[in-house]
Amino acid sequence: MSRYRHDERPAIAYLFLSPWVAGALLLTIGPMLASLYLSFTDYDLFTTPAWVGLDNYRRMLTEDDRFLASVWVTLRYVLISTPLKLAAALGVALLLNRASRVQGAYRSAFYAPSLLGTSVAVALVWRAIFDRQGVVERTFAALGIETGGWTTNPRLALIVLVLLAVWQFGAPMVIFLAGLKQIPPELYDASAVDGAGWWRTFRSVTLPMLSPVILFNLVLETIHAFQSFTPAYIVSNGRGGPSDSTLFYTLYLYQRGFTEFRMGYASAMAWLLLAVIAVVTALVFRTARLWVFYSGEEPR
Amino acid sequence: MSTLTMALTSRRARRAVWHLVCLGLLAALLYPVAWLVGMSFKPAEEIVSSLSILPKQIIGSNYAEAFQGSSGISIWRFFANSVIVAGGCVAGNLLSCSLAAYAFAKLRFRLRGPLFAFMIATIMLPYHVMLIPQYTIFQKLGLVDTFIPLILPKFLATDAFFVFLIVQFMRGLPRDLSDAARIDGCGPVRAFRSVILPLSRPALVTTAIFTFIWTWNDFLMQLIYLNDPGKYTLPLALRLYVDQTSESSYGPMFAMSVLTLVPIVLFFFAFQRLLVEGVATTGLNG
Amino acid sequence: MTPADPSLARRERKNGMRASTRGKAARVAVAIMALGALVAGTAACGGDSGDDGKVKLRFAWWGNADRAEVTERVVELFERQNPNITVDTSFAEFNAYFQKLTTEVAGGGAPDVIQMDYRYVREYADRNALLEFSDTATVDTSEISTSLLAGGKIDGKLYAIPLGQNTQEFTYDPAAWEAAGAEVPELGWTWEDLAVATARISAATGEQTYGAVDFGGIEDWFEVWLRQNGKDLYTDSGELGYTADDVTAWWELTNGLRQSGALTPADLSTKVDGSQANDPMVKKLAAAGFAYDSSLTAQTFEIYGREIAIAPFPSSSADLGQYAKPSMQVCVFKRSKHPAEAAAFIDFFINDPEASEILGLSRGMPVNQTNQQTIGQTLSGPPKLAYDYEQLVADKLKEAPPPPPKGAGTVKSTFQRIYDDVIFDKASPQSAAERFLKEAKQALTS
Repeated sequence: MSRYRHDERPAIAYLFLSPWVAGALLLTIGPMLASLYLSFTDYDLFTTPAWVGLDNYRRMLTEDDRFLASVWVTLRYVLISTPLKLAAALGVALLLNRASRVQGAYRSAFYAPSLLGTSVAVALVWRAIFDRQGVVERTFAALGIETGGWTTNPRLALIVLVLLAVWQFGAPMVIFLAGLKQIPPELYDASAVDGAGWWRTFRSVTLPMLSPVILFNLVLETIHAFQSFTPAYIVSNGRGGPSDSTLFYTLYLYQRGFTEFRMGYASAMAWLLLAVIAVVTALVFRTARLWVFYSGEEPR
Repeated sequence: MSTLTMALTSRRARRAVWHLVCLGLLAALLYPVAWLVGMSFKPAEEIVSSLSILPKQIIGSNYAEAFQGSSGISIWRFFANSVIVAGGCVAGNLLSCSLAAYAFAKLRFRLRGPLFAFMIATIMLPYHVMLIPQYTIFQKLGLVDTFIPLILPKFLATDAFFVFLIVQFMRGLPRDLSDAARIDGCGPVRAFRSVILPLSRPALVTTAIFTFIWTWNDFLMQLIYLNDPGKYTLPLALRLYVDQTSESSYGPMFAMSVLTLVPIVLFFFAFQRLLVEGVATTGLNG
Repeated sequence: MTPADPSLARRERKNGMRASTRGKAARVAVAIMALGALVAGTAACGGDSGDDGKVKLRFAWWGNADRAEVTERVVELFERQNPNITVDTSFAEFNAYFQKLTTEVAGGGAPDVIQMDYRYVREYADRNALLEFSDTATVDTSEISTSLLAGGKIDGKLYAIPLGQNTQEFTYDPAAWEAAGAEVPELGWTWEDLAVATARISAATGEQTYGAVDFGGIEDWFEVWLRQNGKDLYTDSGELGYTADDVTAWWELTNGLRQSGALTPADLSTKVDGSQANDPMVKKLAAAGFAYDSSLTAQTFEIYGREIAIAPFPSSSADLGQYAKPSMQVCVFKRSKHPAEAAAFIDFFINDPEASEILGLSRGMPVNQTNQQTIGQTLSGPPKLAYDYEQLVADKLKEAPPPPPKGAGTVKSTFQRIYDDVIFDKASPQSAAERFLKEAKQALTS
């Protein structure tokens, strides 16, 4: 790290920062503080908020069964979908990380599901595939396993959403591919000279060299999974069903705020989520010291 | 001699296996996409009643209907609106995020640490609770039903994800380059414009592509801020075909989805090489 | 990650330089695009009323493209006859529409004329978002039946005007019923008849086609059953008009039928949301189901893939329980700057014969009696079925209850959510009903 430069005038820095500062003041801090304030009030969107202190937080944590249900659904979703998605992304990136004339085409094809986003059409397609008599059920039935429709089975519905998340692994895949390209080929040559097999090379060269990228993807995908809303919203038509089995935290927050007009409560939920994500992110960074390997001279 | 042939055949065999694995995976992954395309050629009653991927009879009328647009507005208008919004957002993010990232990555000032932490925190708050306060602001400014609420925030670097991405990249840039610029007597402004920015091209390409794809698919913001159907974008137009309280025209909706997909597929295919290169040199491990 | 190799840095620099020359054109293009966007935006951003004394109204509604087309034509007609008023319309699908409307009302930017759903009228009216129709905003309602109009009145004040009329009905597939030898439903049939017939159909098809879609989770059908038993969903003071015992009895009835195989199983019933895509009847997995008669449109037979028929609800009492319900309503925003003009537009929309002819059944049966009869002469196919059915039950229909209280929307969705626990065998009807009552009361207070 270079020494502090005395000749630099901080004014210049703020000049560069001015659009961001303007945006933060105008569009971010105001609304954020507003939602923090609202989290201590009873606010139905149309009339003046009434101060209730910590009541929203208390009710959330002690009285609200659906809140707890949504927490469990979300935790399960985060814990299952994030590793699976990263594994899929890494696996495909490893597969594609070799010279070929058609590599660009493959890469685009693997990215295609992520280009679709989460539109009504995707929801319909996804529902149809996992529906009663859909291709998934018929495949399992051919294997002698009777599953019924997946989206309408409380025990399987969450899996459908996990698979939807995993299916759209394009962004982390691209980032992994890029990370793989950064690994100096000499390391692989050395490993080959040692007579190491594929698995040992993967463990002793690829994984350590890739660990910073894994960290980056892990952090962003975890945040993303915690905040996941649209997939559950469109697949369950905004309800989080069947039997609350896909009631994501943000979906419940949305229901509270926009269909039940309890924006104070919804704001409290948002701030609790912010706190949880912050803690989880901090924990991930903390453990990262144990497994992330920095090759550069400037570990940060 | 024989070992050479063996090596060659085994390499060829490995290549063939590799292609097989790739294509097999793609077949599974793209099945839903194929299904989507199949639907777009089906008549309406078959869409809701049959789950088969292949239409019993192929019809083009869904596309014909999609091309007619919706409620008197041509499909090209929707395309144009989407391009304006996505283009504006790309321009805004490129400009503002790179400026902010430069300050965070390369300049020193007292509040750098706290401000940086704050910026990261803004990624973590669910946007639903910010919706109404933000809407109120734009409503007071009289900007609702224009593209400004969709584009202006991008010019003010509110997409912290990209600021973070570019910061990580700039931190990884070779120090000697900026030092050289400094020795040549460049101030921070010139150093930014003629050294850092050109060198950051790969990160900027990444930002541009992700911004384009994400705004192209975004629904909620466009729904909230646009009133006049003449200003509707493609994601809004798509939803006009489906209403659960009345009859839904699924056929044209699927056709429209396919049409919506075409530009971003082309866009991605054209830029994906730059995208990978972009992240490749990004200082993700910095 | 500092590249140690100086050649790499050089290469990067070269790339960078090349990009900066090539980038100039791109930058200009981008700048023009951005500027264009801003200009396009501002140019279209007009004030509420221009300097030329013109009044600008905004009318927002939900629906599909077909409804959009006829709505636009009526708006044009209105503008031609009222050259000093322009009406800007905007529309979205139901869920999106209400998300947007909520944000707009909270942010102070709501449209002047708001298409409204029966279950949200009081929600908005109680929060001071809706204007009472009175001297400042007059709409001629003399041609609307008073029982239908009651659905827009709160404490005797009119806040919402119906745009269409419908009533509850029982849709069935006559061919499937005949094939199974089930007795065709008609006015005066009972719940007992329904149980026998649906069981027979399920048995006859080996449960390939169930007798009917499970109707236990839909509060609307529960309401009819309640009214047959002399109760209401809500009392006049806005409290629940029934007890856990009523819900238990209802759910025991429907759940029993489900367990016997007469009604659709849980995985089919849980999806039911009023849309065709999720209706088991459309996929021929059920031979009947409860619905509103406004769902019958010109395309109904094609979508169902067969001819269907409709009948009144079964009843085991002297009361049919059904009522004329506003299929959708229209309101004026409280803070609208032009309430008189907004009301004039609504008046035109429902009463003008030409407008009514253009609109047809796009928002349900016309509410203006004269217009309704005019349209009745022109109908054929499924809409004719609906029209004839309305005539059949007309004198059996009772007055619509006043708009449900705040929180009623939540109660309705809670009703279906908790019934899911029953059909997925997670709870007995009784314990589920008790939990429902608890949650429903919570939703209604505060």
